[in-house]
Amino acid sequence: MNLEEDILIQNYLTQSLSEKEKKDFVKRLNTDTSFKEKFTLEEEMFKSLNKEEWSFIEKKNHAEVKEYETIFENEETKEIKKILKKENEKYQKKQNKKSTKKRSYYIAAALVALVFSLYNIINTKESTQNIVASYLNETELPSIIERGEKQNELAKAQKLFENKEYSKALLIFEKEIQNPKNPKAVIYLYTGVSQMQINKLEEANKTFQKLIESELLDAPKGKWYKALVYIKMNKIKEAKEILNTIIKSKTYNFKKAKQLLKELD
Amino acid sequence: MKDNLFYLKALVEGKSSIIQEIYQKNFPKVIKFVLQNKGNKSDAEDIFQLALLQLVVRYKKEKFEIKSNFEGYLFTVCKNLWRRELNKSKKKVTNTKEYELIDDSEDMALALVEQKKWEIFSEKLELISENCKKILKLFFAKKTYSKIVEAMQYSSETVARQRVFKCKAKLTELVKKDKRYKSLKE
Repeated sequence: MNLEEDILIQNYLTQSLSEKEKKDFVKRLNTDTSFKEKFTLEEEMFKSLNKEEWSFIEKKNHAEVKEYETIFENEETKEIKKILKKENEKYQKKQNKKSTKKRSYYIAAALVALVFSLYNIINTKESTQNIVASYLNETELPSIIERGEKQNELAKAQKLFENKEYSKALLIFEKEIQNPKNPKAVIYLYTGVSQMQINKLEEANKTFQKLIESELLDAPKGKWYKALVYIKMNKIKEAKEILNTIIKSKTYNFKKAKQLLKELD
Repeated sequence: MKDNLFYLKALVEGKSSIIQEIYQKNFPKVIKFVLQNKGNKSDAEDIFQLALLQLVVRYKKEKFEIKSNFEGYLFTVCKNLWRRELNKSKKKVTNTKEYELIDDSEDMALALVEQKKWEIFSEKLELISENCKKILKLFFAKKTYSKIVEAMQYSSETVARQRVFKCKAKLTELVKKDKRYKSLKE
């Protein structure tokens, strides 16, 4: 091929020939087999190596194409086709689950971040206090009363607690903790939180320490509350130490402990 | 290290755990590519299945060897299949998919042979001199001669034209000599 032919073919491929030139070009393709051959190779090369084009095969009766077609049609291949379809569905389903989970996690995290940044804007000095308040509110205490026992002293105390009459509630809790029939761990929790609410922080600290040292199932909860007490006391270093032990042992609220630890930094 | 044959065999045998592994490692890249190039999620799913099926059929017929790694090869096949789809709709007047891609055996067979043809051209491009490769890559990317002059620091467009012409001649010569290309012409 000479340079002239080459330029002509390139101009055709990039559609830069005039109508008249194009007509002549097509005519030559139909009559000059050697020119047609050159053109075909050039076109194949151009369309293969340009990233936006694709070089198709026009001859459908091509022997190799027919051979592959037979393999695509056979039962074994059809079986694999079905398997691939199933595997695709399996994979996509898993991905969907993952992304919804991720999304809801991000939304929750964003909300938490927003709430705390608002606290910080409103009053930076009180921000740690607010952290404690919001965590206290968030953490649901188990109900003290067992079913059918609405009339006893503990029920009264819980009611007072719910109405934020902490001092009055404390009087009852302090008495009831002596009764071996009562659920000790829960009473410790209520007692400690009540003490926190009326700023008897040293006492609250002692109450939670008792819970921690008890052999009770709920003993680990004491650590979480103790950490909150320390924050309220502004003893951030001590609070962090406890939070780290919670995270290490993966006990009650360890995920929240991680979050809280970040907020303290 | 899992070799390329390991994945091909697992595909032919329909091994679920390995197919899931292939999906995990490769599908994210493919869907990203399709989304960036005018496609949607379901296009990406179709293309991925087509590509895997293409590998199975090709392996069944000729026990072919993947010269690069499996991941890279699979991605190339996916990219080419998507390029092919985009160019198909360019040729057609309507843009709608009127049939399931994966059910058209003749079309899948054509795509496979076209992929093999593409491989010949890309392989040969790697065999010519670095300088020629650089010029031709610019040329095939439809850069103008003035751009080629600038990039290659030639003295004029005439020189650039002559260089492109010579490099292309080298490339076509290599392609024409290749046995696989000859058999495609039959």
